[in-house]
Amino acid sequence: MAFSVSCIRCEARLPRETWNRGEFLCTTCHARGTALVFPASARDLGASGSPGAAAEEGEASCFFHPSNRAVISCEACGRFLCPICDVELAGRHLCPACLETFKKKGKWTNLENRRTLYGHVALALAIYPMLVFYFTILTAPIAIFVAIRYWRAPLSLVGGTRLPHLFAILISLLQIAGWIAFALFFFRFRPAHPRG
Amino acid sequence: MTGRSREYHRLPGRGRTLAGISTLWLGPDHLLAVDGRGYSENYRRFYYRDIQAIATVRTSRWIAMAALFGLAAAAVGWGFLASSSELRWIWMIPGIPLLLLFLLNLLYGPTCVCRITTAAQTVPLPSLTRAPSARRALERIRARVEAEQGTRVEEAAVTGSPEPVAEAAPAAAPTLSPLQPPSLPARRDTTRLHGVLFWSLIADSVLTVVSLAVKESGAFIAGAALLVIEFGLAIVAIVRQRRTDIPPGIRRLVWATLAYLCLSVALIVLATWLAAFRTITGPAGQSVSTGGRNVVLDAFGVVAPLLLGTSGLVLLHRFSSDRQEADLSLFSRP
Repeated sequence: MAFSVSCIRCEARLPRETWNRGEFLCTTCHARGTALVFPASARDLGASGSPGAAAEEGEASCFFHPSNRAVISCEACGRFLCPICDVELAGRHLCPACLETFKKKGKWTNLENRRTLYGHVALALAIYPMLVFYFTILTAPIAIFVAIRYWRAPLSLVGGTRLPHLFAILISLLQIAGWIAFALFFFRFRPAHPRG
Repeated sequence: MTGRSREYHRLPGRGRTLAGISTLWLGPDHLLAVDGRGYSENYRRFYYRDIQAIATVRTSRWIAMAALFGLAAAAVGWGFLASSSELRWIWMIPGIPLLLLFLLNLLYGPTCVCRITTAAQTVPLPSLTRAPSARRALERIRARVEAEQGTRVEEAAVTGSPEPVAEAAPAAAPTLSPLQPPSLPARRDTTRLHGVLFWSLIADSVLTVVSLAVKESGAFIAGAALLVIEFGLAIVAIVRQRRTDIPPGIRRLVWATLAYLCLSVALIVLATWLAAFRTITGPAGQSVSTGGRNVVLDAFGVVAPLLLGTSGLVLLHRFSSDRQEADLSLFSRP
């Protein structure tokens, strides 16, 4: 099936003349837009995901599909793979099983699709409860725990610092200091009970 | 861990939703879409070799936002000007943020939506929400994708050959045209709204002279109301003049009118801030009038709208006579 690009607004197929020609005006909805089309558009799924040739006698076959001829071996476990099972990622050829293992262990950042930002969690625990300040007696120690416990946890994939951890610890320490000062003041200068 | 960030380079554009902020990053072999969720980040990767198409389309959200912020700022400005109390500077608390939002919205440019297509999926790119930043980002993405796939897209797409890129010679390949605006079919506009806008500017100038002469609060309030009306007219005129046959000179004049109106509000706000500051820092018990006039500001308030209005009307007159001549020649043609 021929590749096509459709207008985002009206979903009408854009004529080929509008591709890679700067801004166009959709003939259906008159919306102004751009369509960048790259050579990969000519490559259909069948080309990359074809099962390849059947394995003949004496030829190496795929570990997962014994009837298919192997074309490459997994760089992690060495199993022979057919084009269906060959997953190319960041220049490496892996089998689906190794890919799953890497993903579970979190050993390969290229497979990560989510990260928790513990610094932000700790900072939120330190700051938001200040709106109802007496919650801080509970949340300040928790914020310190989270900040220290996850100090070595990976930061954002695209960068980031440990400043949120640091600020969370500092703010929580100040809150604890405030509570200690309040407790000292309360017990030292507590008004004496009037004697009957 | 921070060394990891060197692999990624941030692209222009930032999408804000209730859930968080979305950004786009150029990686060594893939495009990384990061959806910030406050306490976590979700990642999506689009490998350069797999990207088939990226489409954008402009939306009219920015016009709605401009109208909303502009009218709200103008309404607050009107309240500020109509108030005679010394505490009228309180109007500036909502007024300044609204004016800033209005100007920032204009500065960021038209809004757009963007979609990326690979062999397996077509998904939106929520970080590309403004056309100028999307254009800059797409230029950089295109350079990376072309480096990976080559540039011979049309032949490949037409013939459907499975390996169009490997043999593609970059020097001989037809390069993709830069993202320039096309020549658009023009719509015929009556220019009545533009006429009203330019006449209102002349009326503004006359009203300023009257308010300077009589110094009555009625003229002052009428001037403030006219300012609000002019704001609305300018915004509607900017919206209407898109894709019409109105010449660029008149279009630019409408934009200049909007800039004048924004500047007027900003100057009034600044003058009142200064007056309020003098009241606070002045000798105790002495009240400094906030209604003190400034010769330069008064002259600006009279001359600028007069110039804009008259030049706009002259241009409109020329344009309509040219159009009439063109129409007559069209009908008289055998």
